[in-house]
Amino acid sequence: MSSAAPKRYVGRLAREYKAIKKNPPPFILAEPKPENILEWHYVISGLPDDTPYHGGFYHGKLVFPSSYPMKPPAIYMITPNGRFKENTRLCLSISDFHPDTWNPAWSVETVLKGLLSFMLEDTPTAGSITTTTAEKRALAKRSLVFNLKDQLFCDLFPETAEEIREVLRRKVKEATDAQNAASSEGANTNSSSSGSGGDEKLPELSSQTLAVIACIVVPIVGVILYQMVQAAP
Amino acid sequence: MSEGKDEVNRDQEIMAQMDAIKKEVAESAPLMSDVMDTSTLLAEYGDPLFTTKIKSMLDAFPKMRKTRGDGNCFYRAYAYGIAEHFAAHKDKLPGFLETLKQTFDMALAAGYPEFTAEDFYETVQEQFARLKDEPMEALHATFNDDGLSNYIVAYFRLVTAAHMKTHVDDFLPFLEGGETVAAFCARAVDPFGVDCEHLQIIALTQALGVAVNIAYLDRSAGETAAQHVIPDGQEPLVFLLYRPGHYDILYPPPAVAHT
Repeated sequence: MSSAAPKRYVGRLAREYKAIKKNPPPFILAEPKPENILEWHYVISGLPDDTPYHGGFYHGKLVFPSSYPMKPPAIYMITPNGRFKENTRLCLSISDFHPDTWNPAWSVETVLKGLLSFMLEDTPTAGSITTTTAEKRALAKRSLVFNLKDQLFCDLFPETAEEIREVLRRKVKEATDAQNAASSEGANTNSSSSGSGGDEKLPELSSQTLAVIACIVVPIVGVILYQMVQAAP
Repeated sequence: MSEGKDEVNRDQEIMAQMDAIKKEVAESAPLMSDVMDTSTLLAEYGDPLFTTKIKSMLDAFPKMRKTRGDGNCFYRAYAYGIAEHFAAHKDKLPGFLETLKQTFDMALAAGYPEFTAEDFYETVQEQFARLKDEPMEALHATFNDDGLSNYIVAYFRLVTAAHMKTHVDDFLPFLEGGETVAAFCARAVDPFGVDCEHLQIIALTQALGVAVNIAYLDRSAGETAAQHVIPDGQEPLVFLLYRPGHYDILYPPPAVAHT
């Protein structure tokens, strides 16, 4: 062990990573940047529907000083969320705003759990903002596309990115199905009465379906693009 | 909002400045110095009261070792003194390692997270166990390695707080203004770099079963430095020098210290 580099500290973050992967806390994923173990990214998602963050994916980062765990990390939120300002150091008892209250026995898990519970409160602090529940819910919806646009997010959390894509695909499909059901109600009564005629009508139906899908997908893509433009800083 | 932000930024600036000064002071001194003559202290004080008190100590403690003044000095000096004691009394080392093991169980009982408590404990156990067949020089390097040395400090802090939290009735009467033991620990024990006061010393020495003798070089009346053993009535294995806000190690003759 050399005296110049506190290897024990770096080792600590590596050990924490192992522990957090083995036993992830609820609603939280965390990944260090491959080239820099002192910068960890996290995603908070899957929050219950009695919170305004239901359905949202919240990406942020922790920046550790080289003296961690003796000194606390800086905490940032990257995804617009309605609770904390984006890309701003947050002032929490578990953050580097308060080295005087930091306890070296705390860990990445303590920090992220603390952040989550603080997010679910309304207590103001430096870096927090005030928004309505409706605004938070709208931001939760927009967070999906916002995060997919972030290459680092997609690289660090490929499974979460895929989960988001799946959610978006499902939304498109649901909308398609709904529209499909509504517009083909007349045709459906026909086919259900004739029974075996369904197969013959298939080509005709599918071209009809395609037209319907086009009608629905185009506006949805439009909405998504609009959201992207809005979400852009 | 913007006013609050400015305030925060100012606070940050001041904090950063203070940190920078502290860092500069701290990093110019080793975490644990080599042994030196206690009489070198005379050059640091022109004040006749201090000069008299220092001279009164020279026979009892001709040698000393300085600790970096970073707010962790009591914990670090005490841990170092313990290591030196067991390096010189290797037959008693297994008993101390067993006590350490018990403090780890106590930390868990006090509610400290297992992962981090174990992280600190394992380092301390591993380093002190080296004394079975290695000399104190090996541990001197440990105590001057930022990472390892601070891990030892962090564990000793954790033990201090855990002992207080598992012996609330012993400590609560000494807390002021209705402060709880948990709040006291969060404020005055857990944070790295927070100075150690009398109550913490009582807790830590009780938990580890190693008594400390402290010589007080302060402005109190008298021509000699007052000395106290904590816990009271036990044979001290570690000798420390207290100057307001700071602790160093003292050595009675013959110096048990290496180099």
